[in-house]
Amino acid sequence: MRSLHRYLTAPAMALLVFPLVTGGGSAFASSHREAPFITEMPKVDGTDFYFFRSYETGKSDMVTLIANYLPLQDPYGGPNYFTLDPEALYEIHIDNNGDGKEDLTFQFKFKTSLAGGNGVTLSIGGKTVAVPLFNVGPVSATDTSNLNVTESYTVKLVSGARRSGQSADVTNATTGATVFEKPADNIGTKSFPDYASYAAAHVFPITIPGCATPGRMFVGQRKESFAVNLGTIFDLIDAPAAVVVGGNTAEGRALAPSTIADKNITSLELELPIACIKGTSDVVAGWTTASLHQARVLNPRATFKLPALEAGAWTQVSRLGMPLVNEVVIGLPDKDRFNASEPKDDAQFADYVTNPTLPALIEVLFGAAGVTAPTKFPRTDLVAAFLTGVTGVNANGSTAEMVRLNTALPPTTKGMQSPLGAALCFVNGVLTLSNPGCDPAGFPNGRRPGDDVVDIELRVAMGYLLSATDAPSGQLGFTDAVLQDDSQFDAAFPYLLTPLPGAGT
Amino acid sequence: MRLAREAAERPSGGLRAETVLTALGQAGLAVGSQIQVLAHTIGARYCVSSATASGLALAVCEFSDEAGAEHGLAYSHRVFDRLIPGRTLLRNRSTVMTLTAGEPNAALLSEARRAVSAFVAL
Repeated sequence: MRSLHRYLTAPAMALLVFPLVTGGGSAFASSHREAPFITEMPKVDGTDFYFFRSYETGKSDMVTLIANYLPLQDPYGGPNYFTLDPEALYEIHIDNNGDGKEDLTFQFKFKTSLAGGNGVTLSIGGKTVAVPLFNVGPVSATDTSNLNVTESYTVKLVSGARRSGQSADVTNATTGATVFEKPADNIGTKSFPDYASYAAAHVFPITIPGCATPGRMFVGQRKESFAVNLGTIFDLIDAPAAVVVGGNTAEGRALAPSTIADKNITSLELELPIACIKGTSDVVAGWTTASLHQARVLNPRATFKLPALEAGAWTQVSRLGMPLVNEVVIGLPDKDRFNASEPKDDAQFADYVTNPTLPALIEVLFGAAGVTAPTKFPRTDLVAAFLTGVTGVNANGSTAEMVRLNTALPPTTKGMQSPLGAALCFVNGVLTLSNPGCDPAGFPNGRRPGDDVVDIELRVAMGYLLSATDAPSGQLGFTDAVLQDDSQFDAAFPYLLTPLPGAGT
Repeated sequence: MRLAREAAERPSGGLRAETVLTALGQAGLAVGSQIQVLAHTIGARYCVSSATASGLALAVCEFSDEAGAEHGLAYSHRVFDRLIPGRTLLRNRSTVMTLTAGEPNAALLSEARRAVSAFVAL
């Protein structure tokens, strides 16, 4: 008898089977709270990374990179809302020569300030007293004087290794400024009668060092862009089977609401000229990381400016490229290590890809009905999808987990994008551009916001890219039944939607 | 956990999954390794899943009794037939076998026929 333990070590089984069969909340949410240690540091928890040829009209010579942080923001989460960590280093990396090492790194550093240095005050009974709230009146694109707390940031572009390369400031292409304002979160419609316009005023034209063509940048709160429903997928008792294997129709892929549709997220967004980021190859790879200082000493007399003293070398605590990798591919003992690792060292995690656990779990759940996990090992199809890119499409020579984008492939306009992206460009593992639904501009050739990566990865994990002999269930319509498509996003930068307000509608 | 509970509470006296898979092997099918899967999915008491070398998926599920097996077979048809094409379900006393040919071809259909013959002969 083939034992389940051939697939799963006991700890991994305990981790994975329990949430799967009981409905594990947000555990299957791209990369939201995906590793034990990062749950202690939500401000530096990278959740989704998008990298795509810009599909805004007139911008096809650009790429857009979006790094989402700080998961599961309830819009009403005041009074301090969701500022980023002023002691952290947020980075977006680009590898343009296929060695799994960063060649360009955009480094974001944030600063949180009180208005006037000490905050807005009121005279109360003859005494000047600081107010406890984030704002003291309405805020607009043209009048931010009622904000009690402001966030600003600087961005540097490092060429070469991120800690030792050559660094230069990214500047405002209009004003030359090196400091950018981050919009406050969407507290509510009384504080922000027109949040969309207010946020739009924080889309900045930027001068990129060494690049003649300006780009654009936005950092701020957005509506959560990921969509998923783990509980419904795997709750064997309550969920109809159609939720998992009914995705070969558009209706079957939209049976359930996203459990995180009422959340916001914080996005770091860059629009960059392709010509300025690519190397000799058209294939460019990207990922995002966040790092903290190695040491933190809590201040027993904490102040706004110094709640703790942080020092020491930057230590990476979050890493995100391809979606769901650390979530459902990497085993629990290695999740924190993965977050601290670099793509060039990914050989250490190869077993999780070549011998994945997720398909075995799906077989356990639905094997009685005829669902079978792929039988071919090592899973070279998954190595191509996650670690090397697909030869002739977006392979770049390295074996490293990154989002790879072939920048020579034209973008697909909003409304024409296939949510199953480039996955449908393959028939039994063979590149077939004539296959109905094939959209080469989508995941896993880069990743657009509207790409339904959950459905794509479920299918690929179950052997969509393999022959029927090696993957008897490889052509089934695996789905989480939560719709993700381009209709849920704007047609222009910054693409992700205006965040939900904390109050009002 | 649930798998362990199903294994511990496996029905006795019926046509056992191992017997079925052994018979399929004797009928010339290259049955691969087996894995216990959740029987609850179709209301069974105990199930195993396997596949042949040529890609015919096999699931053998034991039920408490023949009525339960008939009910489970009907449930599986009702819920999964439209989701998982290419399935053939058979009942022999209190045991249900599900054959699934992902992409039916002559070799798989031949295997399926042999599997059916072996199963009904038990």
